[in-house]
Amino acid sequence: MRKKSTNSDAVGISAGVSEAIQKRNSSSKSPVFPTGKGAKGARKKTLYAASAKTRALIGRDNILATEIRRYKTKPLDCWGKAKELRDKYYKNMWEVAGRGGILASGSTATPRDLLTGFGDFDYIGGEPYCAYFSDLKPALAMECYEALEAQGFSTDPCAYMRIYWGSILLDKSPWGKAPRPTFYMTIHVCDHHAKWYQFAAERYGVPLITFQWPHSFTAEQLNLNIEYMAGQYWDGIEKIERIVGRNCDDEKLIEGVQTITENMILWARISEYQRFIPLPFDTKHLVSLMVPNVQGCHRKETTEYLKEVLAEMQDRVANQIGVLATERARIWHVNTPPWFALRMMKYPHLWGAVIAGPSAYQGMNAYWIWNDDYTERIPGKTIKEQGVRLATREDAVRFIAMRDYSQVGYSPGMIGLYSPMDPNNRDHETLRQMEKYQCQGAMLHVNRGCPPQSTGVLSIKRYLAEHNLPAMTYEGSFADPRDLNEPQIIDSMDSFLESMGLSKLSS
Amino acid sequence: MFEQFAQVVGDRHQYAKDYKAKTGDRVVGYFCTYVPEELLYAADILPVRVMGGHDPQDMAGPYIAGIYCPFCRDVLSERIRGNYDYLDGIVKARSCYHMRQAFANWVHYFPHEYWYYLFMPAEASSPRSHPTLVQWLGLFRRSLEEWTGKTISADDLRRGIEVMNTNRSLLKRAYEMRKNDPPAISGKEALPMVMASQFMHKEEHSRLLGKILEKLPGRQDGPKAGRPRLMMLGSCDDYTEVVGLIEDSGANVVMDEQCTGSRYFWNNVDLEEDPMSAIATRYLERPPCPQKDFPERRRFSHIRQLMKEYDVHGIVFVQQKFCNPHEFDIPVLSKMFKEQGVPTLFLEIDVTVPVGQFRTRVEAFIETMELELA
Repeated sequence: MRKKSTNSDAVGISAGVSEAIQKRNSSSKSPVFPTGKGAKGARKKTLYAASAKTRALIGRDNILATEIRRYKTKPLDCWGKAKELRDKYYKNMWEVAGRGGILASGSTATPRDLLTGFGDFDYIGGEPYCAYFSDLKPALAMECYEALEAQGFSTDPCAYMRIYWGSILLDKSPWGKAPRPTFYMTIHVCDHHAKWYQFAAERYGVPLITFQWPHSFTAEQLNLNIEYMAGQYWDGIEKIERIVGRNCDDEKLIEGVQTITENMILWARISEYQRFIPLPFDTKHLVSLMVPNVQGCHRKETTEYLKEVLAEMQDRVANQIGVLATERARIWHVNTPPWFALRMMKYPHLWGAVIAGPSAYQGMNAYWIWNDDYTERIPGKTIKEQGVRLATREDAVRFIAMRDYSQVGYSPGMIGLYSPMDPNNRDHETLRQMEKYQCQGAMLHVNRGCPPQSTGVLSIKRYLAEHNLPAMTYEGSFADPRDLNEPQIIDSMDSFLESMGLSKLSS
Repeated sequence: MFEQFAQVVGDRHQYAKDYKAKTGDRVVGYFCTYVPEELLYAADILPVRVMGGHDPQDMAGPYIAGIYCPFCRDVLSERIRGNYDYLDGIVKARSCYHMRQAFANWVHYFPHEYWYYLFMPAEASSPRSHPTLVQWLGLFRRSLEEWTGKTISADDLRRGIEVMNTNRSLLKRAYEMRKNDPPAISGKEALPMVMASQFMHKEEHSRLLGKILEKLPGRQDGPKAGRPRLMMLGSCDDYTEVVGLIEDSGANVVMDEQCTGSRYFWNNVDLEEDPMSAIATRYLERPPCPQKDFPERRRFSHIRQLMKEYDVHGIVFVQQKFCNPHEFDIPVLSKMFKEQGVPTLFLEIDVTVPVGQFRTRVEAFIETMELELA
């Protein structure tokens, strides 16, 4: 069962990362997960400390109802480019195999850096692919659900996965027949993702490569896990070599790591500008603008596009251009919104409120790190800024592992999703994000379409209540409209916005 | 004969409290059968499996949304009720996010003197999994040593492994006796027998089970011969009512593939190997839960093998509502059984068991099988 380990066992972890987690765990301001004796006291300490920023947010409630300032607004310049790239990238996915390239598919979080040393390739990230069905091809999405249910599958699991499986059964997609990848390559990011691609690989009779990200609560565990992840990535490259019958070009691999890392940083930087008032981009905009990066993060063309988006974002911030002229309150949204009902994300506009989240778009193919005193998460540093030199395949897989580890429970939006002991961490993280993004209330999506994403949501609600921050939960799905009662949620939003001290604007 | 096991299952909390008072040893609750109890026994700790109480009043609602499995909510409800106040610590091996959420809530809202979260690879066939797990087990071992102040020696480890191996071998021997027709042990006896081993000190359980096994060969009051032979597939199914209903309706439950059954004890730790390495091997190679069945499936072939060995005529799926890992496998398994001509029955279970509703379906299923077997 066990093979002799390769020389990539030598892959180590830089002392910096190890120090980082030790420092994080020893900082009184950071979320701490104590083990052993004394855990009880430490936990208590972290629960009820409202920061000055939170107190300021609560204080701002008093002016919400009376102070209305008018901001400039303007349609987005980069909108057309985003749509053009999205369509181009999807078209390529259907064409790449025909011209002898590689088509792989799997979780969006899977490091597609591993494919960049193999020449012409494309990768279908399952989540945005299925979100496309839900948002733009709802009838086809419904057909997929029904086809799967007719085979005896439950309606409980991941709604994306059900669309994907249904599309395989029907052999249909928004662009013709369902794509048959050369192989699947996925992160065991949750039980759904793991089974998702296992089933798909079996249906098509193609290989499946899986990776697993363990959780860490101590520096020692982190070191061990980085080693494990780097080793799996090393093995992954070797498996791809065997599947496609050619060797990985390590120079191209390193170049790919650099491109993807740069794009992940750019997306984090773009997302971070949402902290300014007025809100420069609407949530509905941002979840659409992220698609080229999510599906095409390995492309240099995406870098240019993201730079354009960033420049526009900066321009809007500098010139106080917002999406809502009457912005006077901001709401944080936890979890992925319902793609088929994104209009709901604009409903608070009637009350002069904007949704500055959701947390989900910030964590998607973004690279975040802690700031120096571990109080805030900030966009990651480039490979050059980190002083890292990538010269070999080992360097590359080690770097990817360290970069990806920022997503294992430690990136905005992903908190609590991957890290099981993190209701506390996710609570703190949500509060910090609300402070940073200047939100006075939160909408928490209990996403039936993605149960792993909704773990800890009720804990966040309790935690925000302890800090006198209003929050509403709503049950729905990011992709299955049968799980969401829109009129009922709109009613709840009315009550919630009113409870924030807002009233509906007359025009 | 098996009443003592059922009694311990019913009084599990009292058993642990009495044990603690009598020995002064620590008691640790574990959340998944992937937790290597060998290390806990080596540290002189009594491991007890954390399970729900089947109280219809769901107290976990404010903590865990209704979209998660009833078992994880029930487990949290038990903690809220204070039924697990006696535990000194809790341990979780990585499994599904439903149970991770229950564990996280225990850690978060009901701090214990000790908790540990152990990584358990799902990709058993990966060459990286074994060395990583060995190292994780080492960290766990050291964490236990630091907590208890007791060094776990090589002899302690060996003792821990032997305690577990002896008990697992006895349980397997008991299951072997279900291969005959009539089976020597009924399903409603087998379930509390295995569950009791998850609550009792293994040495005590082994002594008791050893005595019962000696008496079994000449048993006259066991299950009847010539009935449909069924196998139950599921997760942490502790519903004695369901097994009772099936057997009272005219069938024999002769085998199971669930973590309150054969999955728990099927393979042993190899004492010839280095102990920590052997423990890692055992947990990676044990019959997998669907959550641990990657990238190639091993579970299905194991089930087929069991069906052959136990001459199984039909399958009963006992599905915890919202248990996603099993939900993924069931339609694929159903298709496989259909192609083989094996009849199946699907029962979806919540915290409480709607026995009345199930009765008609179970009876119809068994009657159909009786006709086919006649």
